[in-house]
Amino acid sequence: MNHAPDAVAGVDHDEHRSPYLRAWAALAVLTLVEYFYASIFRDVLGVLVIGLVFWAAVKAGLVGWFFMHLNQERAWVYLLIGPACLLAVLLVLAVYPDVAMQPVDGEAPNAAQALKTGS
Amino acid sequence: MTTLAPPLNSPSRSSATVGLVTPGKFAIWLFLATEVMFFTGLIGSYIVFRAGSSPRAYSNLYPPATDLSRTRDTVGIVIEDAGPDPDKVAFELVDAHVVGGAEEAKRLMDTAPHGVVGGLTNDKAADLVHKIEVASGHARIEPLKTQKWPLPYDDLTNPLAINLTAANTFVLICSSVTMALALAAIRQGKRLKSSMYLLATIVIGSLFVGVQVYEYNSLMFVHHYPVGISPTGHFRPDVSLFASCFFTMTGFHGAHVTAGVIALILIFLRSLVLGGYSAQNHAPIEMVGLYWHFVDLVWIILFTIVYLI
Amino acid sequence: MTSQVETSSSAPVGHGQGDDHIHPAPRNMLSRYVFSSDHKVIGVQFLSSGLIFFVIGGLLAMALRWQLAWPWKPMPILSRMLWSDPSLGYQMPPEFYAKLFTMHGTIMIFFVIIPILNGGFGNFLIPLMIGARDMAFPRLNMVSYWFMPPAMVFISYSFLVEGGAPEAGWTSYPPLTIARWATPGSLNGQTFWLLAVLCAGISSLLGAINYLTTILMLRAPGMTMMRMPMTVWGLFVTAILQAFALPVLTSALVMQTLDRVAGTNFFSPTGLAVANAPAVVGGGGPILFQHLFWFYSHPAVYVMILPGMGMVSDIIATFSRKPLFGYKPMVYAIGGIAGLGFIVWGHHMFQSGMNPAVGATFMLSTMMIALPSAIKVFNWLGTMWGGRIQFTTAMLNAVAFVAMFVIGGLSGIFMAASPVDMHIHDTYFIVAHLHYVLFGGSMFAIFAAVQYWFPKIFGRMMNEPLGKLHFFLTFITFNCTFYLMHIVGMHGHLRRIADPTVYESLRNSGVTNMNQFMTYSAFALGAAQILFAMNFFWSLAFGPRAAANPWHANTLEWETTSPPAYYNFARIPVVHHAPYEYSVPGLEVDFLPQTKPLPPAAMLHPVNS
Repeated sequence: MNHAPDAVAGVDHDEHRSPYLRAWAALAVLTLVEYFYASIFRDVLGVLVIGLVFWAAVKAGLVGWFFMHLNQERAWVYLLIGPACLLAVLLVLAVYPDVAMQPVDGEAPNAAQALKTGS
Repeated sequence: MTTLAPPLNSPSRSSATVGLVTPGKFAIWLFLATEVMFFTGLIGSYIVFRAGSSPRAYSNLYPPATDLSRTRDTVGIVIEDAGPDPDKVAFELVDAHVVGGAEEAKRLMDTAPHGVVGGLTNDKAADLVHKIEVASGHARIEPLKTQKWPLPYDDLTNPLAINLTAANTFVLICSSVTMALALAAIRQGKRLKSSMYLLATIVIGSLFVGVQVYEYNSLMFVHHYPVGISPTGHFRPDVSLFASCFFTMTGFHGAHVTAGVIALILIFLRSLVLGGYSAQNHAPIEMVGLYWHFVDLVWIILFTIVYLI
Repeated sequence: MTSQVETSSSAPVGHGQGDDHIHPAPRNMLSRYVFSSDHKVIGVQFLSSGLIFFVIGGLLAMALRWQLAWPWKPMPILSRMLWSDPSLGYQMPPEFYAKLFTMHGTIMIFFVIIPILNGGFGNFLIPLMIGARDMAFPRLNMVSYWFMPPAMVFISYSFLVEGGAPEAGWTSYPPLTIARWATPGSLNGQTFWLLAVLCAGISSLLGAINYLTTILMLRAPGMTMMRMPMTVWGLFVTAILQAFALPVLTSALVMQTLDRVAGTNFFSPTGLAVANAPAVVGGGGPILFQHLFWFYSHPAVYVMILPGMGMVSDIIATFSRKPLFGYKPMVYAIGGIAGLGFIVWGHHMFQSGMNPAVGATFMLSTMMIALPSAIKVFNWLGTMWGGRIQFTTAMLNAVAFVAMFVIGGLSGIFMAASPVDMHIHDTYFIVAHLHYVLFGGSMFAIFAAVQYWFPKIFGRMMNEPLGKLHFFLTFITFNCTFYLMHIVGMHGHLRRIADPTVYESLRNSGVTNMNQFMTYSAFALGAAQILFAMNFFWSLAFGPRAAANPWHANTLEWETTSPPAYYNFARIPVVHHAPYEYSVPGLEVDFLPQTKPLPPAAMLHPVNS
C-alpha cells in the first residue's frame, strides 16, 4: 500500500511541498512587513490599526488557506467556521457601545468646560 | 490558487481524507469553531477595553489608573544612566525625599535608562537633574504625558519586547510549515520523513513555549520597569488592565500551544511504531495539524493586536 | 481504522458505524456501569445525578419560600441544625437567604435541567432515534459525563468553605463577585461556584460536539435530516447553541476566576475597594461580564426549552395518533428560535445602564422570537386537533408543557418591551415568568419524557394512576405557587430580598397572604414530587415488563428491545419515511414505524408528503 503513492510521489514531489514552502515564505515576508510597518506608523493610530489588521488578516488567511487546507475543503467547513466568525464580530460590535463608548469621568463636555472656566 | 492545489487525480487527493467528511474531522473543525468563540471572549474583551479605556488611564510618570486630576502640573525625571557609581545617584534621590527609601532608590537604578521619578515641580526636577549630573549619572526632565493605552515602543508605559516576539512569531510559523510537511509526507506514505517533520514541529513548538516562558519570567520577575508600567517595578497580571489582558490572552494561547506539543509528542511516538500511520490512515496527524495551525493563526492575531497595536 | 476512510469515501453521508459489527458489552462492571462509554449508561448517569440535584435544588426553594412567607421566623429543626445559632434567635441570616436563591438557581439550571434534558435524554435518545450503535465518540462522551462529578463536588463543597456558598445570584455579576470581602459568599464560595460552572460547561461543550457529529454523520440509511424526529431536531439545534455560545461564557468565567485568584482587572472598575479591603487597580468593565454571561445564558434558556419542545412534539403526535402538524415549519421554527436566540441577550440588561440604541435593537429582536414560538404552539394545537387523544401521563404532562409555555411565553413579551421592563425588572414578575418557562416548560417536559421513555430506558412501565396523581397535584400546586408571583411582582415585590415587609407597599395583608399561600402551595408542590420518586423507584423494581413498543410509536428507538441491547440494534435499521405516519389510511394499525415501507396505496397528509 505504501509503495504505490511513493512511486507517484517521486514525480510530483515538489508539487506537494511547494505550496507550503511558498506560503511559509510569504508568511515570513509578511511578518517582516508587519514589523516594519508597525515601527514606521507607530504614531498614526488609524493607519497603524487598519494596516496591521489587514496584514494579520492576510497572514491568517494564508495559514487557513494552505496549511489548514481550506483550499481543498468543501462547504461544510465554512458552515462551521463562518457562523463562528460572524458571531464573533457581532459580539464585539454589540458590546462595543457599552464598554468602549462610556463617558469618562471628568472628561464629559460640561466637566471639561467647568475645569476651563475654573482655571 | 488552483495551480497550488494538488490535481484531482493525484494520490493525495484520492487516498487522503481531504475534502471528505469523517466524524473526527468534522468534530475537530467544530472544536475549532468553539475555540474561535472562546478566543473571541478574550480578544473581544481586549478590543473593547482598549477602545474604551480612559484617555488618562496610563501615563509616563505615574502607575496605571492613577487619578491624575491633582497631578496635572507635575513633571518627572527619567534617569537615563546611573553612572559609574549608582549608589551616589541613589543617595541623591533619597536625600531629596523623592523616593520611599534606599531600597526603592536602588531599584530605580536598575530600571535605568528608564528610571522614572514622578510628582516633581519644575524647579525640583531641574535641581534633581543637576544633582544627578554631579553624581556622574545622567537624567532628563520628562513632562507628564497621559495616554489611553500603553503604546508599542513606548518604554515608559509598555514593557513588551517586540523584537523578541517578532522572532518568536516566525518560530511558530516555521513549526506550522513543518507540521504541514509532516502531513504531506505521510500522505505520500513517507513514514520516516513524516516522523522527522513531526519531531521538528515538536522542537520548534517547544522553542516557542520556551521563549514565552523566558518572556514571562523577565516581565514578572527579572526586569524592573518604570512606574508608568507598574508601581512595583514588575509587570504582573494585577498591575494594570493591560497586564491582565496581556497575560490572560498570551497565557491561554501558551496553554493551547503546550497542549498541542503534548498531542504532537503522542502522535510522534505512535508514528515511530511500525504501522502507526500510513498513507491511508493518518487522521490523528491531520487533526492535530489542524489544531496546530489554528493555534498559529491565533498567535498571528495576538501578536498583531497585543504587541504591535 | 482503514474501514473508516473507505466507508466515508464510498458514502457521502457518513456511516462510520454503519457496518454491522456488534461489539459485546464490557464484562467488567466498572467499565460497564461506572466508567462506561455506552451512551445509554451515560444518559442514565446524567439523568440520575440530575434528579438527585433536583431534590437538593427543590429543598433550597422550600427554605426560600419559608422565609418569604414568615420572614425571620425560625424554621423548625433545620434552622437550629443547619444555618442559624442562638445569637440570631435561630433566624435565618440574611446572607443565607442570598445563598439559598443563588444555589437554587445555579443547581436547577446547570445541574438539573441542562444535564437531564441534554445529557440524559440527549445521550440516551440521539443514537437510538437516528439508528446508530453509539455516539460518534463514545470515550469523549464518557469524559463529558465525568466532568460533571467534579462540578457537583465543587458546587456542594461551596456550602462548606469559610464564608459559605456564593451569594451573588446565579448570574454572578461583578463587582460583587470579584471583591472578596463584599459578602461572606464572595470570600471563597464564589471561586468554587466558578469552578463548578466551568466544569459543567466543559461537559456540555464536549457533549454538544459529540451530538452534532453523531447526528450529522451516523444517521441510519434513509434517515435524512428531514426524517428525523423533532426530539433529535431539538437536541441538534441545542447542541449548536451550546457549541457556539458556551465558549464565550467559559472565557467570561475564566476572566472572573482570574480576577479573584490572580488579581486581574477585567471586571473591576478603577480603584474598586470594598469593605476596607485594599483598592485594586481596576479599569475594567463590570457590564462586560453581563454581556458575555448573557451571550451564553440567553441561548442557555433555549438550551433548556428546545429539547423539551422536541420531546413534547413527539409525545403529542404519538398520543394524538396523528402526524405532527407542520413538521417543516416546526423544524424551521426551532432554527428560528435558535438563530434569534443569539442576538437577544441584551434584553436581560435593559436596566444595566446599557446604551439605549443597543437596547432598542435587542428589544426588537426579542419581540421577533414570539413568531417562531407561536408557530410551535399552533402546530401543537393543530396536531392534537381532531386526534384520537390518549390521555396518558406522558401526554398530560406534554399538554401541560404547551399550556404553561404559552403563559411563560406571553409574560416574556411584557419584559421584552424595555419600557415595561423598567417597571417589572427584578420583581417577582420575572420570577413567575422564568418558572413558567423552566418549571412549567422544561420540568413538565422532563416529567413527560421520563414517563414516555422510562419503558425504553429501564424496560419497565411506570405506574399510570400514580403518574396521573402526580401530574394533577403538580399542575395545580405549580400554578398556585407561581401564578400569584405575577401579581405581587406587578405590585412591586422585588426578587432576591429576604424580607418584603421592609417596604411599606409590601407590608399589607394582600401581599403577605399571597406570599403565605404561595409557600403552602410550594410545599405541596414539593411534596407532590415524592409521588414521582415513589413511582420512579417502584416501577424500576416492580413495574410490569415493557414491550418493545408500548406506545405504538414510529420512531426508531421503539424498534429495538426494551431496554435496548448494548449495541442498540441487531441490524442497523433502514428508514423509509418520516416519523409521524400515524393513522395512515388503508392500514390496519394506526402507526407505521419508520423501518416499515409505506404501503403503495397509502395517502399521506399533504404537509408530510
